[in-house]
Amino acid sequence: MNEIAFLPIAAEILLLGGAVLILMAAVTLNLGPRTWAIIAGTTLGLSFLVAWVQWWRIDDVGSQIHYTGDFLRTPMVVMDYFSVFGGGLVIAAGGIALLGGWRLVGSLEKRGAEYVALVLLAVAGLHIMVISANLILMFIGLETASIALYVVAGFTRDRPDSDEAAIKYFLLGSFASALFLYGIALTYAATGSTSIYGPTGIVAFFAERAITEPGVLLIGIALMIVGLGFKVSAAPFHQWAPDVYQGAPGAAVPLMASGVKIAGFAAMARVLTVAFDASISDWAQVISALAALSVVVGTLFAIAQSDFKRMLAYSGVAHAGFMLTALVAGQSGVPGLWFYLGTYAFQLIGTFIIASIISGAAGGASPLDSYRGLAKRSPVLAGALAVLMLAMGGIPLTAGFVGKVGVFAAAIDAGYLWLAIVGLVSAVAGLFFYLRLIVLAYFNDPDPALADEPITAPRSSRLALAVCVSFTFLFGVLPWPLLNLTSEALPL
Amino acid sequence: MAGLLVIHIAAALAILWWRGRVGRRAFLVGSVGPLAVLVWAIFQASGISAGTPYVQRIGWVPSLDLTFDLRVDAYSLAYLLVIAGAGVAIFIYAARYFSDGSRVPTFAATMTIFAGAMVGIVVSDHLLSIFVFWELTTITSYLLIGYDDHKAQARSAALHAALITGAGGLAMLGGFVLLADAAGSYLISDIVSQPPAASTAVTVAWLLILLGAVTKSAQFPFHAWLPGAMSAPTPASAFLHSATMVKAGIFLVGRLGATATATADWWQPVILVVGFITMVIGGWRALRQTDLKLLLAFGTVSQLGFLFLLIGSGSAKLVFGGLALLVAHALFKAALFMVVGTIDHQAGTRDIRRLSGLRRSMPGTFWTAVAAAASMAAVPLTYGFVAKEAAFDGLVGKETTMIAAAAAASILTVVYSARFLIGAFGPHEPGQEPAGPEAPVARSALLWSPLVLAGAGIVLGFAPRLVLGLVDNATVAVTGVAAAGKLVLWPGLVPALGWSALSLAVGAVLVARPPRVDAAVGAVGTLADKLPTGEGTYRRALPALLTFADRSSGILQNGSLPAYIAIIVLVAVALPAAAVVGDLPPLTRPPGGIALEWMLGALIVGAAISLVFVRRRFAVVILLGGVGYGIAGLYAILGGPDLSLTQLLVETLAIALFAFVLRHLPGTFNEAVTARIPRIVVALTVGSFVFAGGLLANTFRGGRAVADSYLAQAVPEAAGSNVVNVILVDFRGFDTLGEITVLVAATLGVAGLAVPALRMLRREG
Repeated sequence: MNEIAFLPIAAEILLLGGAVLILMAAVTLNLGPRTWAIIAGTTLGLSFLVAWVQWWRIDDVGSQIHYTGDFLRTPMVVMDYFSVFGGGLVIAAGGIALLGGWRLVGSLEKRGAEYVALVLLAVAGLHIMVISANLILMFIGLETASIALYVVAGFTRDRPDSDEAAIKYFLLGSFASALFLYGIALTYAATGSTSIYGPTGIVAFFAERAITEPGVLLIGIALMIVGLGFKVSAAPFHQWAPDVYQGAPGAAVPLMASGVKIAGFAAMARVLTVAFDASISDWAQVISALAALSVVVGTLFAIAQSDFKRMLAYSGVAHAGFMLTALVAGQSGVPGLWFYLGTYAFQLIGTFIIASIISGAAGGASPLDSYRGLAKRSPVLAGALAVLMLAMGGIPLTAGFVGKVGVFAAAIDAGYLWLAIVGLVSAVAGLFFYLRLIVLAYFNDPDPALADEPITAPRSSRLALAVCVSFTFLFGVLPWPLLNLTSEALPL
Repeated sequence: MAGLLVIHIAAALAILWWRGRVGRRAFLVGSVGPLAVLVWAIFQASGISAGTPYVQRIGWVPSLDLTFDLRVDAYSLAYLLVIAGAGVAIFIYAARYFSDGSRVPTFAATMTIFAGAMVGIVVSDHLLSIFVFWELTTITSYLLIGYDDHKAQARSAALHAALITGAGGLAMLGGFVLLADAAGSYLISDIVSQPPAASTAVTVAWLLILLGAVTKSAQFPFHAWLPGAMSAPTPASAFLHSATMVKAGIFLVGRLGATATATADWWQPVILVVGFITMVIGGWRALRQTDLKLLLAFGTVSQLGFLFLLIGSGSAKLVFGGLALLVAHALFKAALFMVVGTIDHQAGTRDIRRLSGLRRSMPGTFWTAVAAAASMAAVPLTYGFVAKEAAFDGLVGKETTMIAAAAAASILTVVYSARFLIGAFGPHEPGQEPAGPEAPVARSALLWSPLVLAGAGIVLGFAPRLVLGLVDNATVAVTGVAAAGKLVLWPGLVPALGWSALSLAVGAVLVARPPRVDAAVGAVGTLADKLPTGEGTYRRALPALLTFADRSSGILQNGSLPAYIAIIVLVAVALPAAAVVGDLPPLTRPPGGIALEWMLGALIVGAAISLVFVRRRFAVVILLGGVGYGIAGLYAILGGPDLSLTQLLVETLAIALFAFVLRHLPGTFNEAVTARIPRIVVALTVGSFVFAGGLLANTFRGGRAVADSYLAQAVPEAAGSNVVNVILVDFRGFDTLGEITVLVAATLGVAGLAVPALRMLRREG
């Protein structure tokens, strides 16, 4: 083997090391949650720092492809602005999500260490998905993250619906993974490579020859879209999301919902807009159909929900649709996708933190009725909820608005005017359920049984929530720093 | 200019900061916003009227083409003066209207932000910043209307208004995007100077923009939210429905009307029809109200219809009349709303049937109301008359039906104006408990604010020249041509005067015979009530949407795992199938195998088929194992002994595990084999798809570069002759590390499952 550059995979090394350290600290040294928090915080903080270092490094020497055995020329990971931005986003989302749900760790006693370790493993897996330059490695990242999250979904086993959520997530997820893997196999059959870059990679393959009979390749691409579509909960592969979001321990859902979306979309963007850029006319139609279906189905079903988490799950389907809308534009849609993803992830985390404050860190169901009169019980929480709901609805002066403008502009520029209009109409209908939360919180009286019950939120949740809300507001009013960053974060 | 918006925000923040101490004086703090706009507008008036718009540009999000472009021309200036003028009066009024309460400062801050957003709409040149301010008015008006949040009616009215105008706003956003796409710019000044060529996209754009304007300005069939919004505190109603919120739609159609007319020939007829229907329906329904405020609300709907069709028409003469009327409407409607507020404040009710004796106890308010109502009814010597003359003058020469409809609406206006005066200041109805003022009106803003506005309506009647320049220049600014319209108290013997006189005369006759009018109104009224209204549609559409969403999610999201899997795998089959349908490459026959392969194949297929028909669980597990062992055998024959070994191990382990679990489950499946048919179909479909995929892939070997180089480099590079091992631990060592990580996660999961279970077993003994 030739030289190994450690910078591109420094985050993985740190995260895996952190996970092992936490397990050791808990099992052999018998140290408590405070130590785990220090280790996890340091690990995630350093990993985030690594992203900055990588960015500077690329500024200096340009994008790099790594783990290239010279004779094989099948690069494994790539360090470009795209992977650094996406990786940083995954780590940030994972960190905030873990912070927001720290209360769960305390309540799990000894098993808390396992939970924290699993979260770090999941973040590492998601990170691999973002940086991988090889389809097989991407699959391994996907599996690492997925299996960690299957376990997390069933972590509180005193509730049957948590078990149900975990087993559903696991079975359906395995199917999706299998389909993704089959797609990779067919792609290999058609192009002779599982690497995206490099002289024998897929990009080079397309550059050298025109595909005359694209049958196998198209099946491969379609299956990969199905596999990743499942992970980002795009319709019609979304059915797991409501059951899992509702059943899984509340504090664990933010990572499940946001982190997987970030990594899934990053992988999708890398695979579709880089590897299969040549067949964009084929896959863009599939993506546009999924996008339209997702926004319509997500919005429509969200209206019917009486449980906050289920509603968020369906609204997440609609948001996945909005992000797919950006993807139809190919590489020129990537900045719009990033901005939407980056801001939506924090809206989602913030919202789920609120949900887990209201219905307990280990709790499942979160009926809308428990948000009645929230403004009277906790004005701060209600204010945060209002900002996040307005952002998800795409109301101006929140990050959600700028995000929507970005994805619709990308779709229109790519000639998908009809998709932008479907999206807009759905956004109109979607306002209904976002505003409904605000109405419940501000214009209804609390349930008399709950009215005097104070809402207690641990400092960790409040801190994480504050970060999410200020992000949402800040990037709504002053979006350009993030916009500049996303416009640079293009895949190699 | 941008500073004016900052002043609004600063005022609102100041109010919120001192909300503990400021009390109702918060409105005086808030009035700084409109006051600053008023002063600014007056100082800039001469320059802007001369034809040089005031322009300011601030980059907001340049990369998304979001710049903050401000442009004030004479048209915007007219709206600014109206908004700010009425705003100052109403804010000062509100400072006396409310009593100190803990939520009053928040309300005042919201109203200040609302005023700022309204200013933002009329000074923005960028379509998207118009949309931003537009939705800001929607949100703040929602909070203003829903202020009495313990009243269910106020809440639902606020939601109704927000949903209708918010949805309209988003539709408008769609229209903006399409329009800007076609015109190549988001700046209104660019779009107006270089209109896009007519196309389907542009047509859709105009439709969507029109939808936004129609909902905001409470035009038929979306007018129902406005009367509902009367549950707002009266100062808010006065501000929202005389000078601001509802004028936003009119502002927009006026701004774009000329361009729209030029690129879409249906624009003008649609505007006219919508406006006329709104005008007549509003006027008609105003006749039947007993609540003074609702009467004004329906009157407002009617007036808005008239303004909408005049200003949106894009034709210079009509726009001229419309703008003249816009000023008149702001003056008299704000005054009348405040009069109602004063009455409600002093007498505790605004029910026409109960109010009694107010004329004597509230003479100042009475004369204010007379002046304002006279202006509303377009009685000569008022500015309302002057403006309506201009409007009629514009209509003369168009279709006779149009002018007749306008006259009909004018007659209705005369009648409901009289009804307002008589109802408020006349005697109470027999059989009703009379209500009079509990305290005389102090000489305060409750008296002065409406009086100043109503008085202005009279003064301008005698000195219409004061607004002539403003209205004329504003018309030129949007239509490009001077209307050559007149604003005079005595127009001479022209057809317009005839129509005015006719409306007044018929109106007066009707007023003089109230019982017959009431009877006629009642008779036609029951008929009119049966017509579908936007209200009914809204009330039906909302639950219908909810029911539909509920049912479809019940069917498609039933919680059944097999159903979910079926959907996922079927789509996974259908998507690629759709992609390759048509140009399916020829399937080559796979090379024939040796006898042993065929036997193993038969074993696998046979086991799989019998699996489907077996009902004993244990037999299922055995057959499943048979499939697995068969595949392991195939691997062994085809040159993959290591794979074969792995497969054997996994199968054996799986069967053993199954055997443990099966002890706790019933011996047979409950369901009949026939119940499995749908699953069998799904399984067959997916199976054949995967089979076909395998065949296809076999015919396509793009290249063997990787495989060959692995084989070639195994010994020299990694010194290993087992190429599989070399790949696993050397060439792709990091992949293996990743897989080990996966195993760690899985182990944690299994441990999490097993440890507590073991503990439980031990406890049970």
